[in-house]
Amino acid sequence: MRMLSPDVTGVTTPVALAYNRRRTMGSSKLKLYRPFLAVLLAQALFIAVAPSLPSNDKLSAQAPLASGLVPSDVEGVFVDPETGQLVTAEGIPVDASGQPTGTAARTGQPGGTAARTGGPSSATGASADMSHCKGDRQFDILHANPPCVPKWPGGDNGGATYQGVTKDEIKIVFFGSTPNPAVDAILAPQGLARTEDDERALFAAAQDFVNKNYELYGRKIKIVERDDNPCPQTPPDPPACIEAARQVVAEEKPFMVLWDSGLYPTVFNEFARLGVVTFGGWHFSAEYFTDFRPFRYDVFMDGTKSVRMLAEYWCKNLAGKNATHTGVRIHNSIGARGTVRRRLGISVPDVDANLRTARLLADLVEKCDPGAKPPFIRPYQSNIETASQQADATAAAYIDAGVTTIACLCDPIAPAFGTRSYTKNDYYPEHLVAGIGLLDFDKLGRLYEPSQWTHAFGISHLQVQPRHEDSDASRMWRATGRSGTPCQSCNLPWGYVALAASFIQSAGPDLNPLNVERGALSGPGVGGWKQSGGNPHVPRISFGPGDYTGIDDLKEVYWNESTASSIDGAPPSYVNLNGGRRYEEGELPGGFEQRVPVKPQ
Amino acid sequence: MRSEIRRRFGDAVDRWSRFFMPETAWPIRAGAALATGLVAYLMLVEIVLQGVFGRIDLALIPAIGSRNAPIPREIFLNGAVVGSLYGLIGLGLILVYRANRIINFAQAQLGAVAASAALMLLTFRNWAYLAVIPLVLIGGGAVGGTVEMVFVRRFSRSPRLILTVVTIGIGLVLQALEFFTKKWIVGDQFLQSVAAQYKTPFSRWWSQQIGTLTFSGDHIFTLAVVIGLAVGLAAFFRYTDLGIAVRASSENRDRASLLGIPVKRVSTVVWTLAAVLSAIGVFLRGPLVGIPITGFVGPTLLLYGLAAAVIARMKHMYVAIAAGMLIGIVEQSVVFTRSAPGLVSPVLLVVIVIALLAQRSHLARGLDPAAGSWQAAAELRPVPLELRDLPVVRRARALLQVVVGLVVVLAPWIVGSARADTASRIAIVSIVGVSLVILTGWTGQISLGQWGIAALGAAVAGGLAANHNWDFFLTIAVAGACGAGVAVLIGLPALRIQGLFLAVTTLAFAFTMTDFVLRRQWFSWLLPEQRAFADRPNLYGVFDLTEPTPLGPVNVSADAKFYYLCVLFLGLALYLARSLRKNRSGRLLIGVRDNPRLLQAYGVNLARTRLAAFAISGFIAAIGGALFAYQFGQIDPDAFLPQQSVAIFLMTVIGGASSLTGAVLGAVYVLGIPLLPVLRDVQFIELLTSGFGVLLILMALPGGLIEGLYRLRDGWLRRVAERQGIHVPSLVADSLVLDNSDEQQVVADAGVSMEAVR
Repeated sequence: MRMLSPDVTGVTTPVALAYNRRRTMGSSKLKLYRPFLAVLLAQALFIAVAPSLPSNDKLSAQAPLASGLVPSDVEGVFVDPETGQLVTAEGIPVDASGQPTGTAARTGQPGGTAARTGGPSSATGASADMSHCKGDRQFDILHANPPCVPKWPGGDNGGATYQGVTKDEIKIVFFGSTPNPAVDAILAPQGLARTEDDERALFAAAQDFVNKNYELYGRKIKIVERDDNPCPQTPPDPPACIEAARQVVAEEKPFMVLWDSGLYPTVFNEFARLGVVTFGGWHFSAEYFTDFRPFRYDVFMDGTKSVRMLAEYWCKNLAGKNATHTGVRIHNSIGARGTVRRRLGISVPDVDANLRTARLLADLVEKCDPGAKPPFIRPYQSNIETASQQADATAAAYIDAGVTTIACLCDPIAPAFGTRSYTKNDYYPEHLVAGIGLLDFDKLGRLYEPSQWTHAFGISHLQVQPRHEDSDASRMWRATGRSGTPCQSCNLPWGYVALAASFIQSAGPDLNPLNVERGALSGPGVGGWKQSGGNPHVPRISFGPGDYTGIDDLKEVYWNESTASSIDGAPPSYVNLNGGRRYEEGELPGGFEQRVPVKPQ
Repeated sequence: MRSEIRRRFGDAVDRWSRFFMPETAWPIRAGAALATGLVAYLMLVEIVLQGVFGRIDLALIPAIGSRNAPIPREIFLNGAVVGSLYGLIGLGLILVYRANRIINFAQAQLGAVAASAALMLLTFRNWAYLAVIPLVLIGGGAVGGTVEMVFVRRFSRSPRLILTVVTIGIGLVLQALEFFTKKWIVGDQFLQSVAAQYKTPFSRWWSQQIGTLTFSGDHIFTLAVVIGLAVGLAAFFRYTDLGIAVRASSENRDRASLLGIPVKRVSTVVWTLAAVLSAIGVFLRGPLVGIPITGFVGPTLLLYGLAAAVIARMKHMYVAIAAGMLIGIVEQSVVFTRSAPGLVSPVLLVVIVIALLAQRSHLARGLDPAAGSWQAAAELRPVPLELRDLPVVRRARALLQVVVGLVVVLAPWIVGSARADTASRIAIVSIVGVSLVILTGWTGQISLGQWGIAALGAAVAGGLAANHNWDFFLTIAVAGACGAGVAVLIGLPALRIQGLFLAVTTLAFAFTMTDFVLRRQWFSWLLPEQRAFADRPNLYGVFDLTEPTPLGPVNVSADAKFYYLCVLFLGLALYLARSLRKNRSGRLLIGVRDNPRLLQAYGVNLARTRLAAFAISGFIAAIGGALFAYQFGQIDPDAFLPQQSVAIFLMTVIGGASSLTGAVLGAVYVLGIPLLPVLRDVQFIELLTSGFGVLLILMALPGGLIEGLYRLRDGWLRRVAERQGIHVPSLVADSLVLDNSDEQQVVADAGVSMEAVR
């Protein structure tokens, strides 16, 4: 081969030159990249022999079972969330060691390890001390009081049963995102923003109240406020928030994290991955909460049930009828009030989870109203820069499709742009209040174009607000010997603390996520219209298999310009129908035309 | 046959274009321009767009068109009116570009303070319409002029990248100013201003329903004002002395200065004009679509405005307005036709690329004569030969290496082990910064979407790890390959088009990633499932990165271990980039940036060199993204917002965009400073690393942080040289230059002039 080289043989024909050039270049390049190729080969060998695979997902150990059973601490043994009984995967009753037994094998039998399997029943025997109970409630201070459990007689509570739990203390972190000064400057005059001092005072009182009134099995809760996180409220910064979540878990090692937020699902996911029980995530889908069991809960109704109830409202009240609560003319190209059969339009953020919820609503509506045009889904991008432009095109699309009734499954700002655009384009449809995203909050309803929102009616998850002095947060506040009231917007964080305390109480002395789940899912729940004797201030809060969110009922509302709000005494506001009566799924009445007035314009 | 058609078509175009020649009478030219515009508009809107979106069944691309949903005429009309405001932003961008050769990120914000104040006074304080007009014009202009005199003038001799980043800082400061001005005017009614209806005399003057939408006098007034401004500006540049001076100084600032044109004053006029345009834009926007509650413009409107300006070749006022209208029409059409607003970005990306490619022959002709001056800062010069081997210098170098090494190793403990995660993020962002140095600093291609490529890497690696349990290194390699491939695709238009034009396509790409590719409703097959995590790997089955490892008395947390892995990859990226820079390929990249024609004369294949830069840069950025996926375990579109791409661009330029060390410094400064234990609890520490801080830093160190390092090092070397009695010409020259900057300026100007003469 060497003989062909021109510098050796002197051959300089084009072919020889080309060959030689290729040869020398090839060899030099090979030489140049030899170390690189060697590393590649070695790496390929490693991939074949000792692959670097992802570590096991800790959540997979908690994968939901088709049967709805909840895994216990013992392998192969599960808890039936409805009865609290230990069973095998086949449903055979077993004791805490997994041996088949009779009904006596219920969790929480006094003494031994079984006593710490879970449940508030370490003293369910004949000697159980229920003397402190107020009826079947633990106390009677709040509007909604938790079920009574026997007094803990003392003894071994299992000590450090889980991260954040010792024999004396349960650590709960109230996670807060960094407030945006601009947003706070807007919300503060409305009484919608809390200061750090407000929160500190509330949590001190809440801690005192819970430690005094709930059964904590020899422990006390310690609420740590962590709002010094580099996790901004807005604009969204998931990496910073996930880092903050990890940091909080590493530094505080909490058992529970409470976060009154409807944003950042990935941050809640991260808490779940780290094995922390969390409360928060407004209106995420039921599927989402089940996916991340036994770590994820929230006070508010999940998105799936919300749209099921919205569909129920539609089917019982609006389906198959003409649109009677629109403006006098819906739009020139659609027709006048009362002359056009209703067609539902659904505005929803252009996010997969939200879109799936919207499709569920559309499917349910279509089923009960088969003759009508199918619901018209319009996703939008939550981009404040282009919101207005999108609103114009969306309005045109709704008009073009002949939509008479719009349901916004959205954030509270989106309708501000939408309603402005509808009015600008002389389009006056009905607005079906879906009860999610706080659109049903009086002060936010005032953001929307009045000539549009006058045609708003529907359902609301919020309970009728008592006077602030009579709210649960204020009652709790005074019960700890404090004077005055906590901050105006302190009801929400207190709601989360109260729910967390109820869960700890129902979990029993052996405090861990599985027992929290078992206790929550098998508990009787609190509040409710019937249970409270028709108290509109008390929503029904209960959990069950597949239901990891609290509020189960809602009320009917419509918007009225002249009605004063119970929050600030100023009009306009929502009117609660039937005195704020609350309805659970399947209970919503029909015939809304008799209850909701038609507006003159 | 085809060539014959092409020749005849060319002749026809040639004949038609003669109407526009200066020797033709102006009424004929104006009429011809109007007719051409009208025909082009009708063809584009009524035939092409209507066809694409409504009338033609494009079943092969069901995401784009549908026979069942033709787009009504009013959507086009509304799109054109709203789009004309994008065109107005484009006009402002063109103005500033022509004066300073930069992208003015603060363009829409310049006039927002005055205009939104005027709107608030109009609506909440019941001021008369005519009373607020002077506030818009004078207030807007005053802000623009002040910004120019206080900030821009100070950076007039800085590299253009630095001035570009300065405008980001100016935009943030103005945004805060706008917010507090509005709040001051409306007080507790601020929340109500979200949905305020801004009524003008024109709203009541005329109203007409066209199909599904209602148009008012505001629409007509807006169109009239925008077109009037375009005509006026064109006339201004063509017929007035000041306009000609602006054009002259934009062609060659130094030559204009030598010819006696007061370039500084001209620059002030341009910024004032740009701010007035911006103020008018915000003021017109209010009654049409409202104004956002905090700030007027972000990356979305910047993209629209920039796209309009670039399609207009940063030159033609009418074209910018028409392009803005086209973008508005596309936006409205997509949102109307498809129940998927996320499609706007990919459609816009395609439109932009096609528009750029269609006129590449014009754009390629040295439109950006100062392309080379995109260089951000001097690269780190080696220690002078005379001093290099001195024991004291060697010891200092060794000491520095040890200190840097210790800081890198101990970083998780310096910031606190619970914050090791953020240290990893700094390393990852530095990797993406390194990719930006290669592409922007060395090759001169501005990328505003580098984080978008990282997003692609994250999606690929995350999906493969979470859904298919692939080997970690394999996922990294596949992600890198995908990043390289996509970067080459994005870079294809840049083979013939330089500078800003890539900035537009990359920014559009970043939007496409966030709004489209990272959405499960479109790419569920690529992305990790909802419940699946891209867990950190167990390397070779031995080094589990999810569990802590005790090392003697020290417990190395899982986060710290992952941080070391990220640092290892950062080291590899730096090594790769440094090797590239040191050999012939690196010199070619610099050549491509500084003098592509000379390079071509040497027989270098420019296209291949540029594509190689795109590929390498994309590969590195995507690897950064892949590590990001493992770092956070989940793919959240909000983690890859286009703002992040701009932020990384900003970090890299703050550090020093042509220096690898600068890329790391920028990331450490912006992300790391708030982490330091001594600064962590200082209130408003973020201000130091955001708009205001960036302005302060660049005012002190116009070459970025790396310049500060040079100064420190060279100052110390100078002292060493003095102490040792060694004469080092380069260091002495530097000090002379620093002592007499006026002379240096004269020398520099002369150099530029000589270059121009040649």
